[in-house]
Amino acid sequence: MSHKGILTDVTRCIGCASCVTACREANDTGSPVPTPWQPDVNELSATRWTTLDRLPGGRFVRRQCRHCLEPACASACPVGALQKAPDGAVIYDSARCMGCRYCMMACPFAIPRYSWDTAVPYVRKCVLCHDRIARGEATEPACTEACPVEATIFGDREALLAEAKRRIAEKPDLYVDRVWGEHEAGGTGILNISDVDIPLPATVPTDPLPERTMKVLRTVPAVFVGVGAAMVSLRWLIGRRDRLRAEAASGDGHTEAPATDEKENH
Amino acid sequence: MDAWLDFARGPAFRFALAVMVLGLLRHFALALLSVRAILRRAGDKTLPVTQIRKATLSWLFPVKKLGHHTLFAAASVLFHLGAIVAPLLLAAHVTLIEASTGLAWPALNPLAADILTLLAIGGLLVLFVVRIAKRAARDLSQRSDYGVLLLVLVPFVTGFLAAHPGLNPFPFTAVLLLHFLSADLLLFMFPFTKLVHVVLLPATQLVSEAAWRFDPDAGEKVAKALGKENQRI
Amino acid sequence: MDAGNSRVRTTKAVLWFIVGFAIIVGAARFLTGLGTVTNLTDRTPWGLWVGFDVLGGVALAAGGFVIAASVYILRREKFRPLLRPAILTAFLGYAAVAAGLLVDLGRPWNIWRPMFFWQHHSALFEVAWCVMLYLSVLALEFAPVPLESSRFHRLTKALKSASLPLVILGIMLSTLHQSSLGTLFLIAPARVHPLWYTPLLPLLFFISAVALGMAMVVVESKASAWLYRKRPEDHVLSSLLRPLGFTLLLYAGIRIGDLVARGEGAGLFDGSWESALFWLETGLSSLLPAASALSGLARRSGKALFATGLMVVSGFVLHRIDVGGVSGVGLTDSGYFPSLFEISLSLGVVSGAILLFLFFVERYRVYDPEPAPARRPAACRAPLAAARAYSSVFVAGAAIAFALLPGGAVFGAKPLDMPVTGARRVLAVEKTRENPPGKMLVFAARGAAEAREVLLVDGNRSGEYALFDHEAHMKRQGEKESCGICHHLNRPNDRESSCFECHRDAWQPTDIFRHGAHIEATGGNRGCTECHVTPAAPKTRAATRPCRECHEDMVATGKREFVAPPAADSPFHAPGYMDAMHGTCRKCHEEEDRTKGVKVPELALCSTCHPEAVDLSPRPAGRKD
Repeated sequence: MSHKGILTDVTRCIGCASCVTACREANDTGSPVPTPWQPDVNELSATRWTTLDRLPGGRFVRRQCRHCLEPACASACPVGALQKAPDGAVIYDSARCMGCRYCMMACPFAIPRYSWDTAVPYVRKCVLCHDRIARGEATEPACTEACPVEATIFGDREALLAEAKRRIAEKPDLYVDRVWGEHEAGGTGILNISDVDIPLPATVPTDPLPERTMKVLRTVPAVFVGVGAAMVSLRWLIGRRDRLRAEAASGDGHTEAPATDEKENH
Repeated sequence: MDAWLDFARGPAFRFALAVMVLGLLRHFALALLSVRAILRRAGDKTLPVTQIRKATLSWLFPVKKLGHHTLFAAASVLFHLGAIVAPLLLAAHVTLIEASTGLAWPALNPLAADILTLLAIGGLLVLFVVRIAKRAARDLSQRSDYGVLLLVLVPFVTGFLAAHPGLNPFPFTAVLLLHFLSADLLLFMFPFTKLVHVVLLPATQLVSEAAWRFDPDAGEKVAKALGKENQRI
Repeated sequence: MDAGNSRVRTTKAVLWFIVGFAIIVGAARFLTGLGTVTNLTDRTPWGLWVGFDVLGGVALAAGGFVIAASVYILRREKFRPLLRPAILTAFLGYAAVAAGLLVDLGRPWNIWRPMFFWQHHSALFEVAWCVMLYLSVLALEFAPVPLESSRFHRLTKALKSASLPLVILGIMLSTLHQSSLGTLFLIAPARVHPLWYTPLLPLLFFISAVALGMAMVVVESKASAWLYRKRPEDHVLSSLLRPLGFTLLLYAGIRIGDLVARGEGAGLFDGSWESALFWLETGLSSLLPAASALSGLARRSGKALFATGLMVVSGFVLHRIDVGGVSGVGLTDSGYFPSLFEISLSLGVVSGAILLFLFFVERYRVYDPEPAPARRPAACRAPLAAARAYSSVFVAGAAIAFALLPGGAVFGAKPLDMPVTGARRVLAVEKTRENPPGKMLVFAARGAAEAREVLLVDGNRSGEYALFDHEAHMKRQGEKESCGICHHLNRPNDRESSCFECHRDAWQPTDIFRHGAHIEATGGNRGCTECHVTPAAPKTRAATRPCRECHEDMVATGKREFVAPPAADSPFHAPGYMDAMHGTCRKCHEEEDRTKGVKVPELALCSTCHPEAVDLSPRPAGRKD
């Protein structure tokens, strides 16, 4: 299955926030209220999975889960509650989630949100309306469907990338020559083109983050066995050294049993 | 003044409530532990269940005792009836609890609540008078016994005044604040005063029943321990 | 061990107090969620509980495998007296980690799932497995201590004979997860400050765990010697100083060398609070104690020995807290500082572990018995004296915690109160709209004939507002009954009425009914019956006379608003901000965009550009074309 994605063209967005309302209604997120942990109702929260950021010059850009090609959150999750679906959406299975919030730590875009005010909390973020599409209730996410000016469109990532590049090539004077999401964090399902710079968090790397963990985790079996072997041989070596010393000390072949071996079972 | 009211029915109330609930639980648990310790030492290991039940019930419903000290017993019963039922079923209290916790139960009608409150106040005053008037009771009384009566009296009086502003000669808010604070103090003092009898009544019966039963040869043992085996008692 | 001395009693009383406090906090956290008792936010998802309880706890428990390795692998028999307390500390440390984790996890009932859903690419998955296994190993290693005085002689013997393989397995597991806790943060460069983030985090975590293990043995041994008034094992502890010192030097060398090699060296001296934190942490954890350990200062005095150990312990715990969240506070601009309740719960978990430690020490042979001192006969104490004393401080702690908890932690979280800028009067006209059918207010053109005064409700929402026809609300509700519904303090604890009871997207108090002023105006207590017709009944809205019976001239003037909510299914609801914006602004923006290619910059400023009424066509149901 091809990797789905969303292309948002900042030059077309009129900032009407229809996408936000549609998302809230489609996913039944509830209304956002100001809370100690998120006083700004216009920020992403457990009850707001997509939002609009104001850019200079009256532009707007959507912010939501970027559905990375190699999602850090899904690789960090110790129980597989967050997973990369075959269609490219990073989806959430609340039944498995144990609420460790490692995904929130791992996400380079700082997207996942948490329901802090309930005894049964969830990790919340855009899931590309994966369930609704899979159930046949919709053919595309609620946000792109609701957009009145086709500023944000849904499709195969490859096709969207081609379309983005076509638009840039068509109006090179208008657009910044960059497709946001093409390479960031190893590439993301969400793509943006714009006539002004879109500031991403300074810490968004170009390399996929899961690899940094894997580099270490690949050595785990070797370290595990190695440490075990090292300990056994070290014990033997030191035991032997002690015995030889004891023999040398007692002078003629009457070896005393090394004290250490006797004591260890006490 | 509003800040004081909020303090008295917020943090102060929660503190007092927690002290009362946990403190009473603590007393109850400790009583059970000491029963266990006593039973371990006692010669007869069976629990005197029937006697304890009888003694507890006769204290809970002191019908028999009405014969002996009629005024005292009647006042005590009426006081307890009012003091327990009125605060728990007062409509204003129920509304208050429902607003903060969502829990609600049927409330008394205002007239019944008034009568019960007055019964509690009246009963308390009679208990007070009896304690002073009877020589035996007066001699047994400590200062704290009068203190407890006062401690219980104040919340009921201020509560009644707050509910009947027409009869209230003092500023309404001040009376309300006094009501909150005195009620907080009353809850808080439960584990530290004789009021602890609300949980210890059965346990006390148990301890006294169990502790006062000795082995048949207990007397001999005491004498032996004291080294006065063959002396006259 | 003499449990009766005053130091032990005081210490235990303090610990029980903290445990009582923490248990109430823990209960509130489970009933009402993490957000109500912690200062955690979406920007700081991990805080003190992860940094201290989990990362710190695991590191503090490292003494178990370090001492076990010294005795069993390096065959240093002189450390054997330290073995049992070290294993016990480790076991209780990991148990505390598990307890802290249960509190910190949002959905702790799923904690068993890593066992069945294998995610080999997750560092946390590996940590979960190692901790689980190592906790079991430690339980088996320690089990002989309580068992040796029991009837299970064969089991005890079997466990004792298995101690060597258990120790080796324990070392293997410890090596892995002590370092894996560092691996956890490799995926989170966005959350860890560059002075702490390095690919070498796993290595640094492991080395510091080894050093911390040795230091913890020193601290724990000295502390219990002080507590039980017995002679400290200084001569044994002193021989830990050389290996400790060299480990610390190794750590500090790698830590600073790595920063310099990666070009972050400049950050060490840039005067930021992170650089100060770095020097505090590194100085405390490795530089100062290494100097003290290797120079012989710590060898000469028992106090210096203890101080050295304590510095290492606190320095490395600080390191774990820094990596676990504090160093990222500046990066994420979250301003996180743990709340009183987070701190108290962390302390509560530690206190619980210490109490268990003391229990085992007093009950079983954890320390080698001392030559029996000529002890005074224990004073005759009342039965259950200990239980009475400790339970009362426990109750005190719990009650104070319950009093201090914020309302949200007891009754559930509420929306944040935010200051409101007052509503102001503007001129508007009414327009009909089709979907949903009804009427809408729009700003009136200057001098428009049918214009009337309405309220512009702004809240504090950065220039975003809604127009509110106060008078119409009042009329619609039926005049007389209307006031109390939105505006009166007519329920217990009401402080002000809230628009949001009807309009779910507005949270702010409007004006409040001043009860005190009404008492005065109606003549003190006698006046109550003016409004509360049956004074003994609860003072609810139903039992209270409507305002308009006295205030016949109340109108919407912007200061004294009296409105009522419509029926739930009324089509005449006042639009919330979003609806208002979508309804009023969209069309224009579309047209401007299409026809002129002009972008209208600020939605909220439509009215200033277009004083005349805009067309109010409904939002298109689906996408065109």
